[in-house]
Amino acid sequence: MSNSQFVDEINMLMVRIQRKDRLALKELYGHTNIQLLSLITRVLKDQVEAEDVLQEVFVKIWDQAKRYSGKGSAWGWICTIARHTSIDHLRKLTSHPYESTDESPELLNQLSEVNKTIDKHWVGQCMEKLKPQMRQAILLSFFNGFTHSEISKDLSAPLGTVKAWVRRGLVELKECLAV
Amino acid sequence: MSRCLRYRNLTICDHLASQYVAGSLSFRVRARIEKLVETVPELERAIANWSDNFSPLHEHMLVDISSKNVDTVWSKIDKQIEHYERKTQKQANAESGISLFNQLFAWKVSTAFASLVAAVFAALLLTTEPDIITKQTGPDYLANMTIHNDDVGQVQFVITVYGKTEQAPSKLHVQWSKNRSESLDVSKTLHLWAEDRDTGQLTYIGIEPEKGQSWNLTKPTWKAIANSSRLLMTKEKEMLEDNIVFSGDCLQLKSWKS
Repeated sequence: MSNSQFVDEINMLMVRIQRKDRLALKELYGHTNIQLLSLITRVLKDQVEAEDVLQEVFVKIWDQAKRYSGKGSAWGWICTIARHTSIDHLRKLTSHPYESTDESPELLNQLSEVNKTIDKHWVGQCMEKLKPQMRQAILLSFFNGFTHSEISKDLSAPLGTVKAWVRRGLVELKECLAV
Repeated sequence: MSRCLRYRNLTICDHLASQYVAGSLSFRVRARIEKLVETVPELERAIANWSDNFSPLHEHMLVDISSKNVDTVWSKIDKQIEHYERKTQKQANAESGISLFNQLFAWKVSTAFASLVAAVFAALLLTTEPDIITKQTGPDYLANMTIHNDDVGQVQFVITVYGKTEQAPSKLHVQWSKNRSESLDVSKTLHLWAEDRDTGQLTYIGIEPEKGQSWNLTKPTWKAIANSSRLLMTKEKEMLEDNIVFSGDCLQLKSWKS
């Protein structure tokens, strides 16, 4: 199934879920469970915990389906719910919400590998064009759910500077994607 | 600029949306944005755009996982939803039962009350001079004013607005709460504004009346309040976000006659 077919399929299933069609939710689960479990595991780094969160995400999709207004794709909406739920779970799990990570270089490398094979306007390609600190700050919040102050600790940079990196990085990203 | 107008600014919406999707916001700020999304379509659109921009990142950065438990997870989801739906259905049934009982009860009480009122009114008509009976009406609009942007949301005072009658022009009245925050200096002059429910445009109504006094409204200020979604009080006559001290949704009250 191509990416656009996949996105259309999810949009259609979402319309049925809004009408409380349980079979549609099951189909959605069948189409997306691996990707979502992987996304959640990326944040939590523990598949057992990730499976609990996946369950929570699908209950949220069912419960909050009416909130999806059709602006943007249903898949984008689902990914955002999944990531935010994972981040909240991660913050609950850690007694100290901040936990240092050394995986940023690994994330950046993975991103570079991906970029070699994809469309130049793809978000990963645009990420590659950002200054390293900006890119790192955005990836830390995106995949680790770090708040500005946590990024500031992780990168040993002042809070104001981190906020500026994230803000400017996102602006540059948007400009790149719009070209 | 008022809070509502500020969030309709596309640049601000886009900035908030990008931070929301990027995941760098705390739980509290995120919850606040989710509340705002319900009333600011520009913000909802911006979040949808950023979500779509970012979602491909996930697809290309998957981690290796085992799929052996996916069926078990689905069974748990299915059970949880089944339980959730049954609970919702039970609640809905209970509410409709209570509602029917309440309606019947209210009907009985209101019938008894109406009979009593009719008896008292008849006695008044028979025993009182006609010019002593004055027309009593309730307020047409009401706003519970809380400290602006305060999460506690404790009502500090109530603004009531009365429509024009044969005897009196339309009036506005401010009544401070007995339990208002002690730190508030109520002696300072405050300026009242009405925010139009469709355009978000702000109309200056005037200076808060003397304590305990009513305030006569002109036709334009009455109209501005009648069309408003929210009333705001500023410490200066200039409408700046920093000047806003109190705010509250403006509610139109149903006439007691209808």
